[in-house]
Amino acid sequence: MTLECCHISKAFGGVQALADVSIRFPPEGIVAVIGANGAGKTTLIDTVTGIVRPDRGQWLLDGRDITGLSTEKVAQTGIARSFQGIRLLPDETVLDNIALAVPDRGSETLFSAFLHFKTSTRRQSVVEEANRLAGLAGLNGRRHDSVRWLSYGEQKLVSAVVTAATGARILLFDEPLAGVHGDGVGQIVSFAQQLASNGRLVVFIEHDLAAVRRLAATTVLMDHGTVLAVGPTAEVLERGDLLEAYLG
Amino acid sequence: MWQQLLINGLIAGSALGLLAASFALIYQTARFFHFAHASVFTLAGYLTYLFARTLGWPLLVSISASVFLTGVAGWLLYVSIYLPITRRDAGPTSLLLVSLGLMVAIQNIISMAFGDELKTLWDRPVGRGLSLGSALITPVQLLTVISSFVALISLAAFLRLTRLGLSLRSVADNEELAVVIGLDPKKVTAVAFGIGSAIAAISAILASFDTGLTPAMGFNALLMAVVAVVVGGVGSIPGALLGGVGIGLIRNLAVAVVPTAWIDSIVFLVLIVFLLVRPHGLLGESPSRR
Amino acid sequence: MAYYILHLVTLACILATAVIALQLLVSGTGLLSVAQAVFLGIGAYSGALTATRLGLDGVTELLVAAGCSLLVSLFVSIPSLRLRDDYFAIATFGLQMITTGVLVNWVGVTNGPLGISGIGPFSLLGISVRSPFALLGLALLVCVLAVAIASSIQASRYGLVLRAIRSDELFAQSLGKNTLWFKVKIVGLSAVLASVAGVLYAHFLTYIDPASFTLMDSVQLLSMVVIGGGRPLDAAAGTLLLVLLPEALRFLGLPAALAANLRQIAYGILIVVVVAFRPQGLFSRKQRAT
Repeated sequence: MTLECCHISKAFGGVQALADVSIRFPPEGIVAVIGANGAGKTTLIDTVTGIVRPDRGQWLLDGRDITGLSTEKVAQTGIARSFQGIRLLPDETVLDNIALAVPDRGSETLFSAFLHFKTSTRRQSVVEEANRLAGLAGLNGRRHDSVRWLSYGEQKLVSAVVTAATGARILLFDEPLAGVHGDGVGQIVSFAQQLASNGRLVVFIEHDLAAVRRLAATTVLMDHGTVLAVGPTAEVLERGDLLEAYLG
Repeated sequence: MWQQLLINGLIAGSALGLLAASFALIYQTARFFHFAHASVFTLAGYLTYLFARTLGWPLLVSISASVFLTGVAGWLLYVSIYLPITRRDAGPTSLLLVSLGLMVAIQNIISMAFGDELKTLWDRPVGRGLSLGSALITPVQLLTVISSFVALISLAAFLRLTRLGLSLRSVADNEELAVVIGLDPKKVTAVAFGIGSAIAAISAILASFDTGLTPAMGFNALLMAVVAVVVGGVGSIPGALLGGVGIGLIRNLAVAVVPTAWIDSIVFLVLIVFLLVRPHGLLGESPSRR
Repeated sequence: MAYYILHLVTLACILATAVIALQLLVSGTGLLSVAQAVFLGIGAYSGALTATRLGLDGVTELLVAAGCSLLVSLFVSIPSLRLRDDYFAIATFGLQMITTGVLVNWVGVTNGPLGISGIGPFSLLGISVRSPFALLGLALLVCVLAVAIASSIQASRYGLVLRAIRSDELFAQSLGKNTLWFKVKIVGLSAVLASVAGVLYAHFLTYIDPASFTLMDSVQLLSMVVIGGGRPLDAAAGTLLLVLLPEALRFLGLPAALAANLRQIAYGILIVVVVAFRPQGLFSRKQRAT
């Protein structure tokens, strides 16, 4: 599946958050999107996932125009995203959060909701898949805990797993490492690597340049709503002149 | 006849607009539907009755005392009940339910204390009114329109020109930002409750002169005020005023066309129509999807 | 005395069904409705009219009731849920108020304030439910069914999605869930269940009038959810408590009006206290009602 945006622009009031952004993403692999705060990175993801409607431009999936589709429809086409901060169900278990993401339309009809006599009955295949992913991420010990009791880093890891559990071929992570320290970073990084090795496209927004170097084959540098550079990570990170705009 | 209905509508509308504006003021800062506002309304009427009729105080003194005490009562409701509950992580639904509980309790306390029969505030014969073309304006109506006008101008001036008013508008507009610039939303909300309740008191006293007092008067008035607020645009005080005048007009003009019994239903139908066609009301912001 | 208790328990079972239906919305999906009495009323009136005017049997009554309430629910839910959830609450408010107006004024169909009297026993497939014990049995059966359905939904993946919608709708949408449809369907189910309770209600009371289905009645149903708790059995227990408690006041030998006031005051204070100090309800250990 190829994802592409053409001439995406978006203004909020007087602020031009995105100005004529065009990016052709590779069909698979890991792409990092970096840039200073306010560069428009999250807004860009918002425009493809139905949260913000672009003023101009289009998003194309395999050549098909998917601009302006609602959030749930976008997710159904095979593009999933995580959010800045934590968006999970704090009172449900880690396993249930993941299981919720695993597609199971059959269990989501009202009819199928009757005749459940035991607590928390889930379809066998869904439970297996959720367990598999939890194992992959190293969360086995925490599977049955309420998300509320996990550390911030663990919750961010669960977030990443949930996004992956959707089965989407294109995964967009918004700052998956923000606020995570020590081992947590390593866990999320290795999980992301396993995802990409399965023919998926993983796009992530990050400020942690070390992680970017480790993970991403390609990097997009954004600033003030425009794309300053796109290319192999090593090259983009060598561009001292551009990085000054980012760091300085 | 139309002129009379129009005048009636505008005047009734101004009193309703006053109540609606006070409700909107509180909603803007507190961010939940404070249904106990109805009890505060009722309380004001009965306090005035208590002072003026039972204790025999001069009318003006009774009214002032009542307005002041009602403002305090509103402030007290927030500070002693809503605020502590907010601290326990309660959402708008919980607060709405609490306000409903308070409304029911207070209305019935008043009913127990004063009885359910209709009471009047003013027993002396009313003087002659004013004529405007083919319409007649009673002294009470005159009082209503003047008081509403003065109250609303004062409110607008307060909100626009004083420091406290500015704080109120800041918190209503963007609470997070207001905190950043050093405002305490809790204190500001408490003030909003006080002022909003005092304004509701004025509206209540005007209504009492017009149609007398019953324990359910606040509830009935608030039902209309909620429609006015939604039609005017939730979150807009001028909208609430406009909505109030609009509803007042509809209610009075509809009398000529529709049997009286259906008038309330017409108002609620207007509510539904607005929700379908223009949910953000006349002056509210267009609703975002989230 | 025994018959008296029987009567109360039957009433509790009937109302509990409507309360559990409401809990599906409030606790299960995070939607606030102040119109549950409307669906109870649609059930009662369609049942009563089908039985008295058309002379048809119980199964037909149930089908008519369910059909009408489903239609009405769709009419309200689809337009308003497309906006923010607040608008759904306001829409239910409008629906409730209009329904009261219709029940009182559409005299040709509903017989207005005089109501419908002489409602005979409920007949199911030829068997007439005559004795109070039989009616209790039927009401209990329906209530148990409601508890089973609600518990099943809660335990299922469907219920998990609903809780997700309540907790963080955007999150649910980002996982591909069509949240609008989930909400519309659960509102429909809630309406149908409440109308089934309504049919039984009509046969239980043998006389119905608009005064049993007002905004305050909806608020009381809501309070039973809040006071009971987040699980279906909690809601049933809350209903039983709130049906029995006011009757206990009867034995204090107070004059009727005073007792009525005290009962309402108790309701009001109970809601405030429970929401403030025990938001999960009296009977739940950790599942929040709102």
